[in-house]
Amino acid sequence: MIKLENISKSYVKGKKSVDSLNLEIKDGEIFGFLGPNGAGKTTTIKMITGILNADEGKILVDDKDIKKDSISAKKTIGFVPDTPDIFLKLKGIEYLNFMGDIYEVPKEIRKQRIEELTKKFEIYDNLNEEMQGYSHGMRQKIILCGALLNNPKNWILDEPMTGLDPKASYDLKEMMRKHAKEGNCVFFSTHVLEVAEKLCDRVGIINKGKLIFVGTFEEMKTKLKDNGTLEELFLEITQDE
Amino acid sequence: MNKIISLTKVLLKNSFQKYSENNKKTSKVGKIILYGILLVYLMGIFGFLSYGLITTLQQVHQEAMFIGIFLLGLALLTIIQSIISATNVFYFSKDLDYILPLPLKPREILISKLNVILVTEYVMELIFAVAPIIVYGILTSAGAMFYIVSLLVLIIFPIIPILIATFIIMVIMSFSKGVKNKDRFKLIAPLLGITLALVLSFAFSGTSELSEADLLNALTQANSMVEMVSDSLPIIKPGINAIVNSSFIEFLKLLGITAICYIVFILIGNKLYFRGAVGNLDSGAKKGKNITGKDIKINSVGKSYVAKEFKILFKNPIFFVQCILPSILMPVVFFGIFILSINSNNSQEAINEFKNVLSGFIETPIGLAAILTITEFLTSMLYIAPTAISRDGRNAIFMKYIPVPYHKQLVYKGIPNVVFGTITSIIVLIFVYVVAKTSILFLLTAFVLNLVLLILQTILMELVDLRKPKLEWSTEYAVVKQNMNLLWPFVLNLLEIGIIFIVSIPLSFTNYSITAGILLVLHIIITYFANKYMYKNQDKLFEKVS
Repeated sequence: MIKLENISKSYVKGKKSVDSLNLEIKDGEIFGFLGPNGAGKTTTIKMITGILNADEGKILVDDKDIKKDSISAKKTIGFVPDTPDIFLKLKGIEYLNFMGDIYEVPKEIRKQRIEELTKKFEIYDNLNEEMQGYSHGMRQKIILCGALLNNPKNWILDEPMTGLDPKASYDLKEMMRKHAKEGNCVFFSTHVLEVAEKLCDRVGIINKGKLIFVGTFEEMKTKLKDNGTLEELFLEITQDE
Repeated sequence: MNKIISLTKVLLKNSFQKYSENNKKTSKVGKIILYGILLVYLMGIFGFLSYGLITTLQQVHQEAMFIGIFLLGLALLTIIQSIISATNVFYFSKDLDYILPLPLKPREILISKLNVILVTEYVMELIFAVAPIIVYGILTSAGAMFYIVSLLVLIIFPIIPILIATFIIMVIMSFSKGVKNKDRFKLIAPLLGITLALVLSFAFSGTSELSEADLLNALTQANSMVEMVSDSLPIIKPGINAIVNSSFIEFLKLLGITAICYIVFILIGNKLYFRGAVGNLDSGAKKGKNITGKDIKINSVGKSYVAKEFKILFKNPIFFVQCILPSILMPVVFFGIFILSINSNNSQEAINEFKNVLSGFIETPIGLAAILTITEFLTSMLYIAPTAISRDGRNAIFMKYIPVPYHKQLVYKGIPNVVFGTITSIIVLIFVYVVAKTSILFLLTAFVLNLVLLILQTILMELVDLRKPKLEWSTEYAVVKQNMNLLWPFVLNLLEIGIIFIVSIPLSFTNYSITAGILLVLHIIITYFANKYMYKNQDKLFEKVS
């Protein structure tokens, strides 16, 4: 469960990048976070994961305050950042072992999870290679594997489909569904409206720092002109603001 | 010509970039003051050393020899520094992909890149070379012509050492085509270059047999060394003659030799550079073996984190060459040369007498302070802690979302700095032992003190990096070459040396152990509070990492 209570953040005095945001993502739910470039999506995600401190408000991850009880809260999060170019001089297996050590994943489980995840994403045969030789998609996959290695309860994924090939993208979506079905929480940002429509139980749309819509796609359609395309709906919501 | 000037400007801006942008006026003033203090400090040190040497030489009417030693030192320093600069500017900067599609002639690219190195060397000359020349001029009551000719010589003099260094590195890099592990090759190339340059410079030295009085012996030895190296470096003799005799004709000779070398270099470099640089150094994907059960390793968080830091430092040639190498290489090279030149040019009796005199001086509070100062100076060239956060670039946010307390991560990130600093300290102590045969207890005392100083230095440097981490960079080169934080090690080093001497000078007539005890307690207290500050403010300190 992820709960944001009245969250605000400013980078420049007098201009709020995220403004009084209230949101609750329940266990068993896939939540898509939408919005135009610079709307505040990544800032919100950075606050949930503890990278940024909110100026106001409170963020709870599984009832743990990310500010006051950060280590316990972070242990329940599997985070995939928007750029996968991390520790490129390490081999894939070195990176996964490192993540396993950081999240204290026992050897047998680690071995089983590494095999399962990397075979699913078809990078098992590349684990003994330095990540700098990986393509963008392969880097994205290894970061996903690292984030999911300890089977965290709450997945927070910033643009996770970017760079993935169709099969990997399909597999990830299936994994997200399965994870939510098992009573866990998946929160991800995306620009691809079709993905959000097909995958998410609910979506939130943020624009200029304000959450302007939260609900299902059906609710979005009823609220606005019902025969519009997804893009038209999205544009109507964000332009009205 | 315009294209060369434009490209040089862009390359230079790219090297020393962006500090003026988005900065308040106050911080600009602060920076100017900081640079000023640093410049005066470093110029002061070299001016003072020159004063000592020139006045000693004047007693035996050999002051002209100073210019020989000075130009020889300048040439060697320029070669060593240019080898590292040339590797970076010509091969590591990754700018060729953007420059090659532009309508520029290869010659123009080559000259522009040489200009970048030349400007760097002029900055170095300002620090190391201006003060000695002024001191020499004052002590020898030289006229205006001396200063004019000296200035002209200093402008022209670094060009040939730069060409030599660049040529060596181009030859080495042209072999990169067949090399499998490009990263390791990139790491070894500058080392190989420096070794080659030193071997070439000193291949013929160290064989003269002179047995005069001690002082004269030492002086003649220096002179013979100058003569030998000037044989292999044709610029030294005209340089000496031009400065010593304030001779414009000799300067023209120097200019002529340099012009010929420059033209020859451009002709050769045109082919050599582009053959070795384009595409050859990119490390592509290497097919590895499939993993086995042995590849799944369990480690504690701390061990795993520290191992990751070491791996990234070792596997990244730029980080290794820039952050670690200078503090290890400098003492090895300079002490090696020092020991070799003592042993080869003096009788055993003279060596023993010299060692006894040195031993008597070393095991005193001032001797201890001198050792600590040398180690401090050398470890201030260790850029592991001052770039601890910046090296991770945009990925530094990783530190913030993993479930490991920030303070612990800082401790893990500081360990490589302490380890490599300890290696430098051991090299210095081995040198002290070899030349002065000091007692083991004294060496241990100095070692422990160095260690405490190093831990303090590491904490302070991490705080400096956290205050203004440089996280937006596209090549690793930018972390070291475009990072003003790296001036702080010198500033803190200056303060530290001040503290060491404030404690040791009043106690100079007592046993060194009293000084050591006071310094140890003092530094343990400062380290304790610095660490406590880092622990208490860890959340706030990491605010800039986002």
